[in-house]
Amino acid sequence: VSALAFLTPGADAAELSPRSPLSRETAAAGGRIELRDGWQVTVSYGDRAGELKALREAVALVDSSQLGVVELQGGSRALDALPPLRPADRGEFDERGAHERARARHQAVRADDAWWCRLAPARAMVVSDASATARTRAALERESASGALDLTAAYAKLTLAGPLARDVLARFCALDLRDHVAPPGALRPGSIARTPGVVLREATSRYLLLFGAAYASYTWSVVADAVEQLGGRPAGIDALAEAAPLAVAEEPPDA
Amino acid sequence: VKRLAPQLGERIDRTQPLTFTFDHRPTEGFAGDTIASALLASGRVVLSRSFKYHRPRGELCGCGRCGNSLVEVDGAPGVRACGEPLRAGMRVRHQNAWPSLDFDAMRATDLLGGPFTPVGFYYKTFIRPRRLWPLYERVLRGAAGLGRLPRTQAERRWRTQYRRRHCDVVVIGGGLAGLGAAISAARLGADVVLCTEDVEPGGELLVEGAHERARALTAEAREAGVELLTRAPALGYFDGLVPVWQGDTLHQLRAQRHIVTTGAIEQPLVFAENDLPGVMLASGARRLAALYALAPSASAVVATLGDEGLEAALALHERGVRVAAVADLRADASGRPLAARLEGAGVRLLAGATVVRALGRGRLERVRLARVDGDGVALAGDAEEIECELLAISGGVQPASSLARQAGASAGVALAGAVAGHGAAELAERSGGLAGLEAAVALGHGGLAAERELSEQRAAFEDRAARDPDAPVATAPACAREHGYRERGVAHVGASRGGAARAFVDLDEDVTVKDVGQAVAEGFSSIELSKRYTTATMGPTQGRYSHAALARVLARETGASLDQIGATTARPPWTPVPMGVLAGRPHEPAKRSALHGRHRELGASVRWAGDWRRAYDYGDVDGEALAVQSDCGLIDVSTLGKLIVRGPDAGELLDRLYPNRLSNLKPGRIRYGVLCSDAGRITDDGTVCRLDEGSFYVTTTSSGAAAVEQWFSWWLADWQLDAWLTDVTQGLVAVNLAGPRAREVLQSVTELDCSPEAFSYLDAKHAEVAGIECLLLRIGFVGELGYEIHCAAPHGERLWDALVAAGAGAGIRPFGLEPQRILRLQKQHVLVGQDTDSESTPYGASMPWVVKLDKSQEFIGRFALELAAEREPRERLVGFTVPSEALPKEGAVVLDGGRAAGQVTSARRAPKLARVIGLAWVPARLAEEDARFQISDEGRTFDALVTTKPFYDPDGVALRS
Repeated sequence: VSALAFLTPGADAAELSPRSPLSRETAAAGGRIELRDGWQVTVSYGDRAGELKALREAVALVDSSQLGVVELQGGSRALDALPPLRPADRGEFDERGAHERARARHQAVRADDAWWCRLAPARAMVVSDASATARTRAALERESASGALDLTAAYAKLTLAGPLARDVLARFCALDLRDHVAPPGALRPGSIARTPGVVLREATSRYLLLFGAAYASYTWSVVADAVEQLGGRPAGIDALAEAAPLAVAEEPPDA
Repeated sequence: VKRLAPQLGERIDRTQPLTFTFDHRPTEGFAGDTIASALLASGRVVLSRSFKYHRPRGELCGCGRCGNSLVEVDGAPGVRACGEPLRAGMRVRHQNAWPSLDFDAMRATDLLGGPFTPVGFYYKTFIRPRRLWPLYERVLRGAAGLGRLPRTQAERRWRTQYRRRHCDVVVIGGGLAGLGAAISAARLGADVVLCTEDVEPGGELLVEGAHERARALTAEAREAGVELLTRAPALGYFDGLVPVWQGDTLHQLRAQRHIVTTGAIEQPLVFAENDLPGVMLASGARRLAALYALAPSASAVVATLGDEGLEAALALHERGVRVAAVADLRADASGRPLAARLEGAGVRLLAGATVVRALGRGRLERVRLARVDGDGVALAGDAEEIECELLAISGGVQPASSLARQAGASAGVALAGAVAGHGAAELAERSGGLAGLEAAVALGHGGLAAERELSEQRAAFEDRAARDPDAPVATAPACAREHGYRERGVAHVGASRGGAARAFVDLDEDVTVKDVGQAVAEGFSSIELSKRYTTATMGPTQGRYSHAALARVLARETGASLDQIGATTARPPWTPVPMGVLAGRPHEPAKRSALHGRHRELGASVRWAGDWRRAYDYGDVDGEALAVQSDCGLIDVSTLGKLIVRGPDAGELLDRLYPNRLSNLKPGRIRYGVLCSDAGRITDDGTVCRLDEGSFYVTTTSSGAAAVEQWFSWWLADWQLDAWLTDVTQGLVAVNLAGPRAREVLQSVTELDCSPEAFSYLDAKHAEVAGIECLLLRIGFVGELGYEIHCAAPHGERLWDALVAAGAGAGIRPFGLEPQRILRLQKQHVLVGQDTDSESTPYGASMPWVVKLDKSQEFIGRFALELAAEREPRERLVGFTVPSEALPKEGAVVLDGGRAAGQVTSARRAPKLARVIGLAWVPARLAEEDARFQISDEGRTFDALVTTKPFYDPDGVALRS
């Protein structure tokens, strides 16, 4: 057993499958929880039509805490060895100003069912679909010189999707997420409801919020309140997959 | 007051009558009315009572800026009736008057209370006898309120929230200049937000008969993509952040360029009884007539210092108001084109005259006009009284430059329109357009064509300046300051200081000319001091209608020029705003362990511990503590900080950070350590466990986790070691299974050999517990045989449940933070931050063994600790017992020879020991077994005896068993 195995949520037996740090909140909101890809996941709230309507016409919040998070640290060369984390054009990358470099660095790439996020020259984060987490982690442990650390449990994750998603974010988050500043794939570390977190724009109207798992209950209360105020509601992952699916693969950011 | 025939561009919809109540009486208005316009139309002239003297007050500004129309609407106090749109069913009530608005008993303050309420009276009267101050305070607060807030949260109807909005350009002000700026910037592709105080953009166009032009420009702005925020005043300028209040929302606008087009504000005149209902600003009278078709039933008189009043008189006349006379202070007024138009319309113009007194009982009935001398002072014996219902006054305009002055000379802030001196419509629009163009081009919009256009527009402005040297054409902030006060350099005060009549400088605060004169006589002659002493300009209008008057009166009283008087500092908020709007939604970030729900289900009382919500106890503190010592207990310690340190230099990093050796720790072993500052003072403590050759698992105190992570990161970056640090605190659940039967319970849910031989004290093991992958640490903060079990947080509840189930036969009980503190105190285990402070060294804290000065490695605080090791500390942390069983409070004073010599840091009554125990800092010479000292605690003084060894299990037999 790896010395760091205790960090990884997972179990062979279904009854020991991990639960989201938001499971009590989603259950209290009427969520139906099912086993998916080894996790107890809130798949719906018993009103598929209502959830789809919110996702398409207003905004919905979805517990996405089953997504895997693997952190990579080490020299920038070690991270450059992983193709999705490699800058598209190294020469041009280096010639740009610090602000532009930071902006380019904070652009995630979607590949192999995961978002590959370069947080800093020597630090990266891979956010993977639950079905791909074990595979991704194993591959990273095998390929990365610095080794990978499973931080899936350290983060709670919420997806905000729908045309009003950015308006909801504006209620508790001061990040500049306008289209030309933060296009799909943009990764923005910052304050989420006065706690440290990361916002990843997964698509035009879809944002993934990653924040400390211990803040799960608090953050849910803030986000759900804002969502409700703008006519939205919680939705399950099934409705999210139908109404706002992620592109299979997106082009790397324009360097 | 009557409704005029339908006016072009009027805002009211006469086909939509609305009913609301004012002081419980049904009242009618129209859609589009404000509360004040509807009340005026219904015949009510008195809208409020003044702040201090409770004098009747009527409409002043007609645009939602003055403090004369504050009312309570649906329970919310301080709403400006002259700006609040009317809604059906509104419940409007007067405020600050008793028993009624028309008969206010507190008016006695005005009639009789003068000697008791001079300027600055709160520094002079109601001071003695001191014991009566609570009574004075209650009475004064009750008398001088501006409204009452609902007493309970449930009675408050509002919900407030923030909205953050980033954009390229913020335009503050929705007049011609603002619209011009927004349109020109947006047309080039800039992301523009425009905010205006009014219900619609357009500014003066709306009241000057150019409403169609205003609405066309508004439509053009929308089409260009400008976001328009209406009824949304900007509150201030905070280094690029502009908060804008709109209803229940506080917009936080962050832009790269700001264009201030806040216009200019017409100033009132100062004369005797200038607050009588019926006296209002000329611009307000125009606005009421144009937008709400309101006019006095009888005649009106206009008194002015400049052309604004003449324009207003002409506009009122053209809308059907009978203007009996116009008094213009300027002796040469008759020769002006506007004067000729007025006289052509049959309006009588009195050049070189002004109003000296308003007359009437409770409302304006007539005015007294007088000729003035060359200095603008009324001449005695040459007065004329004219009957009228409305006196429209115009004391010149003052640029609304407060926001611009708050911004100072910030880069990216431009002014346009009247606030920059570009008051004329054509000039305002062009200056706005130019400012918008400059902003967009500066942000890279529009390309070469836009740059060419910018050059052409600048050239056109320069050309205009060359042709008309008097026309101000610059748009820099400095320009606004230049034109702030000089443009109307007339120190006109038409009221004398003597006599019973009051001439108000500041209507908000009931500050009179006499008050300002008195303040000057008492030495408060600078405008800043006078402001503070008299409170002039500190009321709800924030000096909009009093700042110029105060400066003018001060100039007269001191003989200084207006330039010498200067201006008060512009501070936010520019518009008064409810505190609830500033507060926004109540967000109180709280960390909760993954077991929080379980604790709640078990009936735990939850309290703050740092930024965590923790289970304090489960209702039986002593019982929980005793269970740990007799059988077995389980506590959630997930709040401990947890760091993973990896990499080839991980051991080196830890050796440099801790005063003891950690790089020689064997995999699977644990060592306690303290962290020290450069000065050798204890900053945190915890354990370090070596997971494998390249990985360490570091725990910290619950409240110190973030600081330790920062401390490690700081030094890691500085030393550039090949090590990586990750905070995993929130991803892990940790529980402490402790007590004589802990091994038995643990063994029943794991295949790991838990025997003392196989799993000894300070060992770390990886194993499955109840099928969950865990890290087990054999350590014990509570002094019993104990295991800290760490696993991924999503499995936390299952781990907890499995242990509770397994321990059911062994008497297991959950225990909270308070029992834990008793148990650790029995062992004299130190709580960093509670038992230590910023001066505590490991030597003083009786932990010299934690410092290894013989290690070769340099480490943080080494120099200071070497010095500390050579000297006996002045104080030491020791355990104590209290023979009298008095329980001292934490922080109680330690006495040595009757003098304060230390303090108690922890004290509890230990149920197992049946005695009071504690930790205290005492003089070093008292740090001996059974030494006696005294504790002074809130009037009690009692003896205590030093105990240098743990109170319980001093040899650690139970802990290591």
